[in-house]
Amino acid sequence: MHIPVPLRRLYDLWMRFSQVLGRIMSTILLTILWIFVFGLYAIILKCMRLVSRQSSKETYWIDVSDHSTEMRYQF
Amino acid sequence: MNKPIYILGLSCFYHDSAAVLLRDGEIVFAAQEERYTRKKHDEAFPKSAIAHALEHAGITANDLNAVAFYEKPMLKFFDRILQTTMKVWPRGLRQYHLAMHEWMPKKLWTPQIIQKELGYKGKIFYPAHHESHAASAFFCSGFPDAAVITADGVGEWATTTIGHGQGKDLKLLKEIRYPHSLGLLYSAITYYLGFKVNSAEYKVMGLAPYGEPKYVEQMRQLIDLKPDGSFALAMQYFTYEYGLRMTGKSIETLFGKPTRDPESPLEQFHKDIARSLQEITDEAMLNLARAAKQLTGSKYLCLAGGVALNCVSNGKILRSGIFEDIFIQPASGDAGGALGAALMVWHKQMQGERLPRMQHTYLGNAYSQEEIEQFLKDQGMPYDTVALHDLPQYVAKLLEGENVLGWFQGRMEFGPRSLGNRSIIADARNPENWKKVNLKIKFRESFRPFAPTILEERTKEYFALDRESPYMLLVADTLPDKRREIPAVTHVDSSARIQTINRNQNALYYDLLKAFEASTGCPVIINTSFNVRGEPIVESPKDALNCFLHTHMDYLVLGQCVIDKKKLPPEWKRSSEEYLKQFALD
Ligand SMILES: [Fe+2]
Repeated sequence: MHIPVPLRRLYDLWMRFSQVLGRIMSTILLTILWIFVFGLYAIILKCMRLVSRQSSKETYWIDVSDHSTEMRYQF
Repeated sequence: MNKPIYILGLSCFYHDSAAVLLRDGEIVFAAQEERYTRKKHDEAFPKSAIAHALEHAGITANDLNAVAFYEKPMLKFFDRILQTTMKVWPRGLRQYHLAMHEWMPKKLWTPQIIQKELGYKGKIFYPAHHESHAASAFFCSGFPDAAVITADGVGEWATTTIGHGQGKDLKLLKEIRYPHSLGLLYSAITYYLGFKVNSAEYKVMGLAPYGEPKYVEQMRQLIDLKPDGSFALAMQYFTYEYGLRMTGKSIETLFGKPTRDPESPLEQFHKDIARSLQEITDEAMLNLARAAKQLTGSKYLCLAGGVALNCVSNGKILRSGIFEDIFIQPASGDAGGALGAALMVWHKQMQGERLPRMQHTYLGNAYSQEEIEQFLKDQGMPYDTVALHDLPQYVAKLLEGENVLGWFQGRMEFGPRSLGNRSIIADARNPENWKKVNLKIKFRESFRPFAPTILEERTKEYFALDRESPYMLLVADTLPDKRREIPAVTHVDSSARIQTINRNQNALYYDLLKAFEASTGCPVIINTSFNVRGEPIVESPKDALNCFLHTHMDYLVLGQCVIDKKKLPPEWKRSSEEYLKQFALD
């Protein structure tokens, strides 16, 4: 795409601005998500943990011998 | 004849990205991306390594039968990262932002990135991170049946696993999950000692023999070791779940000293901490070995994952006699995950045949004599050419005494160690060489030890080691009567990190040692990686020449071309300061 020189600078400036704006917007949105969604779950989790206090363990192993993993999937 | 089956294994986006190509299960090419991009521990998508792998095999991405990625990205993100965010909430906001900015545009799109970068439309497989580590050890070991221990920082959830390999089958039996991790404990102390995390753990291991295990009891406050091999960290001492640093105030209170500033002088205290950490690591690994024996009943053990690069612990496991023999994957870090992932697909998905034990790690690019000469001519660099059958004697003569040589031959090694194709070599009998190579060639800390290469058949005469150690992954003591003969490779506690060599592994390098032995009687030389501090190991003749010119190395042997620094015209003089600036301190 050919853009005349004066416009080119304006265009560059605009693009840079849009990047900064994108970064700010995503940071704000992510923070909102963090406070409300993660926060809510976090509080519920913490309450649940208070109820089911675990006593000291005999072992820290987790048995995974009957987990079947499927390599086709990402999870 | 049937068309061969090609599997491409990839690891990237964490650290040490790499590409590995299998043809009918055999490793035809393996390399880390950092060697091409010249950025140490580069975690970018391994474009160059893939391109070289395909070129080496003479194929394109269309010929690939499968691509294997070394972990499960979705599991890591949705399970561990998001759960950890909730667990540590309301701490960890910054960590959360960083993770999101890493994952949303990039890591969550791993399959799309692979397809786009490769122009590949076929199947992609995702073995779990520790399955990849385990596979990289077991399927390369040649053992028909073996216990497998993997231990690293963290994969998806698992940080430590015990598995059992039988024939083409490999199963993980037990695991320990994040945040409890031997790798992260080691990294946290590395951080506390003022070294770079995920990079300088080696220095801590090298520092340990200078110290006394005075802080083992305090270490026990950090980690609860159960006799059954399992363990848990006391998380109040660690901040890595939510912070950008690994440890904080509470560990400083525990040990009674602040975190060391990077590059500040090392005190006895730091050495004692390093030693105490090593003791705890040894104990944890021995516990794991006993547990693995009990669970599987196997005669043999395979090890992989970053912690398996701790050759001091490996040596202890071997000497404990819990297992008859052990195999340690030489590329035990995450680069080796690429290899393991591909091997998982070959054996478990495709039911491909097992192959004999991996014999060497010379799996990267090679440069022909013509290419090297052409390169030197283009540069206008004066050099001598030595006939191939005279080369070992010629170079052995140069080695005697105090010369330090750059030695560049054949295919590049895969994994973190140089094993005789991209090496700096020197006479191990000269104690001055230790200082010289550390300070004037590698520009690194003076305490760091060097590893010896020894002719395999003479190992027992020099070291308390009764078997081969081709990948420098075992530490054993130098025998008392030999300590004065090879001071430059014997550490303060008289241990050495040994590389044994036989002619099948690397004929030219073996012949060089043989020639050195013939003229001096000594079958041992110093072998260290061909790079300066913070620089990835050299890949091409260009990298090698660059490194040679900017350091105090005396000779460079590129293939059959020998360059003598004393004979170089003054216009080839280079300052090392400028060169070093381009590499971040590790
Ligand atoms: Fe790993």
